[in-house]
Amino acid sequence: MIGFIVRRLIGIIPTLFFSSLLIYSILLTAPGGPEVRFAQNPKVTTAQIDAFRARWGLDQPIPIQYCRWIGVCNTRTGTKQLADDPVGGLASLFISPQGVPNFLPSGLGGGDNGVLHGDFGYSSTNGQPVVSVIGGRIAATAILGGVALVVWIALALFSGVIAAVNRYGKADTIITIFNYVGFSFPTFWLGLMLILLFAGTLNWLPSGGMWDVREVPIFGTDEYTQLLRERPVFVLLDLARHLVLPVITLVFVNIAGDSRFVRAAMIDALGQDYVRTARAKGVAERRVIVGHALRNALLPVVTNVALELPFLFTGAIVTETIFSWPGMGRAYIEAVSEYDYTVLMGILVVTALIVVLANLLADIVYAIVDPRISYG
Amino acid sequence: MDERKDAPVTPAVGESGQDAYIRAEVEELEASPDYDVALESLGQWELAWRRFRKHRMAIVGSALFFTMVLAGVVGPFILPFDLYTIPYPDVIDSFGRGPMLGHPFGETARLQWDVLMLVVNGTRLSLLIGVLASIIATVIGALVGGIAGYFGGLVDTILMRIVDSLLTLPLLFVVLVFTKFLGSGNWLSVTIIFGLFGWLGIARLVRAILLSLREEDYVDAARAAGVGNFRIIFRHLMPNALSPIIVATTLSVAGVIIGEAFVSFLGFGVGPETPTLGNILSGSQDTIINGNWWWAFFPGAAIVVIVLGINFMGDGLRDALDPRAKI
Amino acid sequence: MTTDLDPGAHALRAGVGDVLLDVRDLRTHFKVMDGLVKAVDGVSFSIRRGGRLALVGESGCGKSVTALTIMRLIDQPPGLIAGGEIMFNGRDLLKLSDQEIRKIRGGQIAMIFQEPMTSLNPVLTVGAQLTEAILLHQETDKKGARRIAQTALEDVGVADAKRRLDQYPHELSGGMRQRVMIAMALSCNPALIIADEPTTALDVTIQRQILELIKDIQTRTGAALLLITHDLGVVAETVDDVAVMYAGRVVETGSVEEVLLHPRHPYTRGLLESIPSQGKRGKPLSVIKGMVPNPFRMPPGCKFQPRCPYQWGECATGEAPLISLGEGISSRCLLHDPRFRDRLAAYDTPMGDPA
Repeated sequence: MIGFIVRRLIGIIPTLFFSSLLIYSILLTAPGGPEVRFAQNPKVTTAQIDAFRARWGLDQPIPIQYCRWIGVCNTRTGTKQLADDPVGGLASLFISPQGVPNFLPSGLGGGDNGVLHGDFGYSSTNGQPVVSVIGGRIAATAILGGVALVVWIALALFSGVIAAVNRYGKADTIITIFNYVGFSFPTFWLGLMLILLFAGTLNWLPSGGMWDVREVPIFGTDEYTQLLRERPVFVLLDLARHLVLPVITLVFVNIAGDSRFVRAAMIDALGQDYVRTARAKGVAERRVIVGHALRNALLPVVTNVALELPFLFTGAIVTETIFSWPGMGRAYIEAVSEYDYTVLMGILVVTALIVVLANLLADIVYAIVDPRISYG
Repeated sequence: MDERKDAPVTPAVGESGQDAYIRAEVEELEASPDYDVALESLGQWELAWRRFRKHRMAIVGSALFFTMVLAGVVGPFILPFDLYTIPYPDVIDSFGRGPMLGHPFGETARLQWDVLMLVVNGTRLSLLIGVLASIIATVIGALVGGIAGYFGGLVDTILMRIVDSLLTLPLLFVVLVFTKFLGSGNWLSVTIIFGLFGWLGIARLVRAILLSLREEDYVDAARAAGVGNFRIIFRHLMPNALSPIIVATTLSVAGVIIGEAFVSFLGFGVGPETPTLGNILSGSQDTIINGNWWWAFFPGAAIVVIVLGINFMGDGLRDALDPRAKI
Repeated sequence: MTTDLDPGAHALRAGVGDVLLDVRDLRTHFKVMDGLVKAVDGVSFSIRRGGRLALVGESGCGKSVTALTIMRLIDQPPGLIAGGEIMFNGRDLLKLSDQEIRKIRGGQIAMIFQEPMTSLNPVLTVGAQLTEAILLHQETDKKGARRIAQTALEDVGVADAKRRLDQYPHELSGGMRQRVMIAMALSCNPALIIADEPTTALDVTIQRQILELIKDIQTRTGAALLLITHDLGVVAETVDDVAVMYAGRVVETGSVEEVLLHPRHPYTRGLLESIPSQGKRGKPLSVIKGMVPNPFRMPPGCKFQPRCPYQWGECATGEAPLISLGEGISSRCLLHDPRFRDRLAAYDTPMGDPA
């Protein structure tokens, strides 16, 4: 098992490498560049832009920029030095101050710059380290996504099983129609409609945000943690109230695929011979469905769910925007608006990593739950 | 066997649940190979058309979709849009007025545009963007998938590694960067961006089908007869993948329409001089909380109708063209 | 020896105390696209306690559906039990509630299926699947159930039974899995074991072993056996009595010797003649002409009439009932109708005197 996981971990390295290259080239192909945000500002002079480019290392050859961002090269060698001594300067790029290859972990004497060393650079809008920008947002996204995931898997399993057991019956038809309609809703519009109904007309729930700004301090700050410790019920209830609408939005739109998937897997399982065997043993129908059929149908479902995990982060982009949820998705939109390249790249790298790890998780989970798979 | 095929399918008398069940059974039987043999003389496309016609959801879906197409094609001639002609409302009400006789979908807040006018013009462009982008994506996907699947080996490994890597980046993230940074707000460039990044699924699909087909004898025969590789891919093999490609392309139209709507709603996509179902919604969020629901409701409902229609149609197409496909 | 088997249903009342299962005029139909498929259409037979009966026929003749109907394992819809009685220990199984039939299933009637490869649940251990039935039908705890399961496995000749309990089905061979199925069937001491083509999916060498095992178990436990098969060779070796089915009906019944050596019904005769054997070496093998009738276009008269070499005008319109010929022998053929005595004389086989 350990060997299996290690082998799969090694296998994802090339994919991640390609992804990082792609992220870099995509942002490179996108017109403008980090300085594009000054383009509309007549007060910014060319000299100032040049200084900005020099400060961010944008005046250097692109391969070197990439190499440094990823952390294989270091930042010690300047442009001037490269021009004076191309060979030595180039070689020195790859050697850390401690004299070993730069890509090695800092603990082993490697460099401390670049993605490989957990250094994503600094936000070009507010100068904060990208790591702390993302770190501050990722928790909010995980809370929203996690709650939505639990609700939607529970509902998908339930509705899928009901539909399969009553195949072509009334319940199945209703669930199928519901799924199709949900699937056809644009997430952002559903969010708008929910706000209209529950926040506007009925005024039951807040229209957005993650906490009540009048009563609760900013999420993630020490004050928030302190209040959470002092009045946990109050803070959590406040959080729950803010979660309702975004979670409904995420669940309603995303449940369809999983519900259909569970239904298909269950119909498949219910038609198998072993289900007939179980019935022939005198097993009660409920137990036949849950203990025998669902137990088998869960195998493909579990894999499917693992593959959907990244969606919790990426899918949140729409919900977070509509409901002003301070998560990664909104951070991404803000970074796009502000041409904040370092934050964009940071979020994309984190997302790619999550996707790849989720794929790996799907494989591992499948190997664990299906006794027929040997991971030799 | 032959009288059977033309006999109208009348389910046995019984309660409605039973009928639905029998109807479903009928559909399954029709999809079974035996039935195909019986109808062999009809030809593949005729056969698919017969199945499609009997698919209730597909017919409902087509009706929804083509109603919207009609609205998008005819509507703009009756209610033309011109960004530079600011409407002169008979009653000034910057909050916008709700649905009424002259303006069945109401007016927007601020400039008081007629929402119906925005919807028909937005529908036209949204549909155009969806269809065009999907065609671009299909062409690229078929090309990449075809080459990867036919040649296999190193070519396949490299191409699929690229596809896998691209799949680690959420489409919406990438498209947002491009639509924003290209900056022009031009609908054609937005279309091309969606097309350029939307081909991954189709490439994988085509590759999988061609990988299995390339081992067939007729491929060897064609090769032995000196037929060129590209001719084999696109004349001999691709027609076999046509059914799943058509289904995937149809469904992708829905995906693009929703994606474009969101991007334009954020103000990163198509600019306000050319209305789409997404960008006419931007700004509606600010007034929705005060009760101006019609501005956000009708354009969004138009998206739902179009997308629902396409999804139903796509499902019907899948059943009609590719009856053995699951789910 | 075979007098106590008399499928001529009503003549049977006399021996009721000895009868374990009595199926009378069973009709199981399926609603499908073009109407009704009468998969089982008036099947009657009975098995005494400890008796062994084979239900024989080509695939599609309704023999498996009959077995599944006895177990009440027909999905409704599309299935529809249109009529008949299944008297088991004096109770009509068709009239039992779901809960009552569940007590019978696996407890008093056990079933062995055709496909050992797919009949066991792939994600549950052998032990879990065995103990499930035991816990349902016997007064015991988990530990006890495990002990009973182990004994059952040992009884069916599974070596290293204790270890097997913790294995998954995919770790066992086909023959081994069928042994597990048999162990599952016998673990609750059923009064009746239904074996639906238990050897068809197995290798020839394994087939014999499994057959011997079933016979052995049956004699040891005294359970009655209903064997469903298309293989007359298997029939000859395993059972005492035979009921031959064609197109949803029983067409002939009798002891195994009578039916195999002196077939009454033209269909049984055709079946026997199509089996290759030493005696027929060098001669062309005869086959039954034509095909099993389309279930939607059953002949109006005798269902075998279109394929029958002995048919005459009467057969196209009239269908014979199951005519009792004494000694448990019966045949559903107009030749045995007293009205057509003269024709029977021309039926050129050495047959027992119908009188």
